[in-house]
Amino acid sequence: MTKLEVIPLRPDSTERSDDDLMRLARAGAAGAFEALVRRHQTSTLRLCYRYLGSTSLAQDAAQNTLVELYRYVPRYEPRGQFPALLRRIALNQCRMLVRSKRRVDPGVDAPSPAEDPEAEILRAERQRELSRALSKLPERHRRVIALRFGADLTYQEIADNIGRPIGTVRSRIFDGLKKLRRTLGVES
Amino acid sequence: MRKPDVHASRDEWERYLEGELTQSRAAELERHALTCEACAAARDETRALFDDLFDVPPRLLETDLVAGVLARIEAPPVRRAPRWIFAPLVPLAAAAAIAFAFVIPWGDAAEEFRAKSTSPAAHAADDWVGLTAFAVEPGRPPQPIDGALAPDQALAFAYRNIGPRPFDHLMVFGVSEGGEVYWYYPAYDDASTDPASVPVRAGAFDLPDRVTHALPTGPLHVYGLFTREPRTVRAIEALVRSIEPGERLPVEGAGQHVLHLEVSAR
Ligand SMILES: [Zn+2]
Repeated sequence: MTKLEVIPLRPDSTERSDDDLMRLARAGAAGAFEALVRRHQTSTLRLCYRYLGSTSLAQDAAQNTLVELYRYVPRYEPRGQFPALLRRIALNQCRMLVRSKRRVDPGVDAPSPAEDPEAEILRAERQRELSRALSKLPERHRRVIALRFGADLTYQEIADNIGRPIGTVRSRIFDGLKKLRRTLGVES
Repeated sequence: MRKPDVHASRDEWERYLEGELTQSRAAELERHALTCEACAAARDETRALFDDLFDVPPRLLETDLVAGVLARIEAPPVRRAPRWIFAPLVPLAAAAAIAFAFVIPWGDAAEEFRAKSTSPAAHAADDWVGLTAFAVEPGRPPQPIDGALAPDQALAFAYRNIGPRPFDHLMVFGVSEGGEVYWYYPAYDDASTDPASVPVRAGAFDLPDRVTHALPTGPLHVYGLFTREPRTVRAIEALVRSIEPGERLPVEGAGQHVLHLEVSAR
């Protein structure tokens, strides 16, 4: 006999785990996927921004990521790996966006209006330089830097995410920082 | 043992901020920075860099993606015209010149391949196919590329498909030393799609578009992959990950021609 899973039609998104929401989305529960998008959009935007260095590109990449996530719904295996999956998709989308563009100019962000416009302009300028420097990093460095600073992961979490030993993660982070520093013209 | 008065490098301050130093070395650095202005400045600058790395524009975090995402998953995406593809490249007369230009070098290359190959039968299909890359500059006829190109070089391609049983589909893509794939055919600009090979005919033809990528410097292996059935971008990217850049792709029954180019700054 087949055991039927009981699925409430209006999932309470704040209570449920990502795995539950993916399962509910698979079963066609209204609002389940939307709840996942709401829950993870900010972290996805942050990660994409740190990789791409531009607000508009990060918005594109994050939207692509969440659309791509939807393709995983029918075959998703709930094993508590949701955040790792989402980050992997996000970094792949960033990578694809970078190479599908003829040019990625990270210097297109205008400073946002703020209480202290001068500080905001300086901050935007620093971000611009940083983005330019990040865009020159080899992909393997750019990826770990984005995971470390854009997703605020520990080295172990990054290691799990990229499927490499923690020692590799550590050396890529510090190599990446060193390359960044050189591009930014910081003396050592 | 380190002397307590040894200055800290930037590298060490980065490790300090990442919590990667031993407790005793971290304490030593803190003490040292109390009396060494240069080191205190280096620490502060490193901290500022880390702050910038964690920083995101407030505007970004106000973005609401929900409506856009739901609209896209409810309506299948419309294929947009690729941004990096331009109108047909050359008039027919010039196309004929291209065909002429790339027919000549082939015969010898095929012979050479046969001579080197350890199992000649296995890749015999490669002898009947070919790919030539052309540099396209405004106001000049396309020039065949024989090795080096600039990262932003506009490229056009011509193919040859002249076997007794010609192939029906083609993909053209570059693979960098880092394993990144740069698609020329099919057009691939929308990451949510998975486009398939383009159809090809028997004979020698030039392909219509000129395509520019921001290529990384270093070796670039440009594959012409001829198959009987269409393949998809994602399936091929998965195969690319299984080989070293520049190696033959494990695609049964395919004809392949790989151009080994070098990308260097102008
Ligand atoms: Zn000092």
